[in-house]
Amino acid sequence: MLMEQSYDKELRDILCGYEIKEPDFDLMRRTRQKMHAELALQTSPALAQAPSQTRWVFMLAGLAIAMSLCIFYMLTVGTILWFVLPANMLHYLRHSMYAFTAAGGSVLAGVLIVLFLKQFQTQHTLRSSHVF
Amino acid sequence: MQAGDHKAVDEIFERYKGPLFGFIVRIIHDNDAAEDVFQETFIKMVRYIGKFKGNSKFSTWLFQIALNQCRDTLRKGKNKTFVPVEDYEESLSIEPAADPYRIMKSQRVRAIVDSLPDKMRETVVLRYFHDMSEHEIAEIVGCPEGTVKSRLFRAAGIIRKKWKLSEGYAMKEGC
Repeated sequence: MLMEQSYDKELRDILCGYEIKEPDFDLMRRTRQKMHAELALQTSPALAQAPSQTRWVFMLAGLAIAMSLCIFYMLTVGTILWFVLPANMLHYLRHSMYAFTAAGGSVLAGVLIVLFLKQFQTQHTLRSSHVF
Repeated sequence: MQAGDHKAVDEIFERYKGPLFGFIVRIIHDNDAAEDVFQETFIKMVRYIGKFKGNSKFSTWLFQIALNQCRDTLRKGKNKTFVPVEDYEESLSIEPAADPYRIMKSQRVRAIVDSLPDKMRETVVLRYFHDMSEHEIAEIVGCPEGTVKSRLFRAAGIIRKKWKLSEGYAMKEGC
């Protein structure tokens, strides 16, 4: 332990000669300016709207995927079954289409409810933080 | 700060400008590149301050940003063959009229530190120039504490050996 400390001290003594100057005035001025510009950008209302825009993009993407799955099901499985199944079974196929749509709708409704509640929670938190 | 406080930004800048600049120059030893990294580090600090959760010390987080910037710059500069010695000399904290022994010592130490492999140099700079603990260094460089210890141990051996060697040369040259 003592030897370790003495090695450490020896190294510090060797390295102590290597000093670096403070950054020059011009560099500091430029950096400060850029930091304040970045801070202004971060707190601008345009940027604050960005998350809600992103949310809409995700929602639309989700909707597009759900619709694509429905269409895929109808065009592939649905079409094949339409030809293969006996006529008395076709109403089951029609019902399966409804079921699929209902399932997709439920998932989307769930997503919307979660987003709404999240939004509500964020606003509530913001209001609380303003009070204190 | 998180509410966009310009004064807080200035306070952080005043507090860390010296240590961070010293760290960056010692890691990438190119003054122009160091200035760019210095600016980029503070801009990123402002940009990502919202993501700082306080799980580690603020200084650790800030040095982590600076180190990542340095690594990116070094990686990009691998293909270039820059040796801007004059520029680099400008950043050393020694006045032109200073004691020749001091200048010589500073140059020798710099040459030794620069000759260390990148990862070893990062560890040495954080430990001996910024007094960071092994735990903090491990967080900044992104490796286990054991690795930090072994890097420091190996670096100590190399530095001591090269220092003695350079002392021999200095004696021969009469400094």
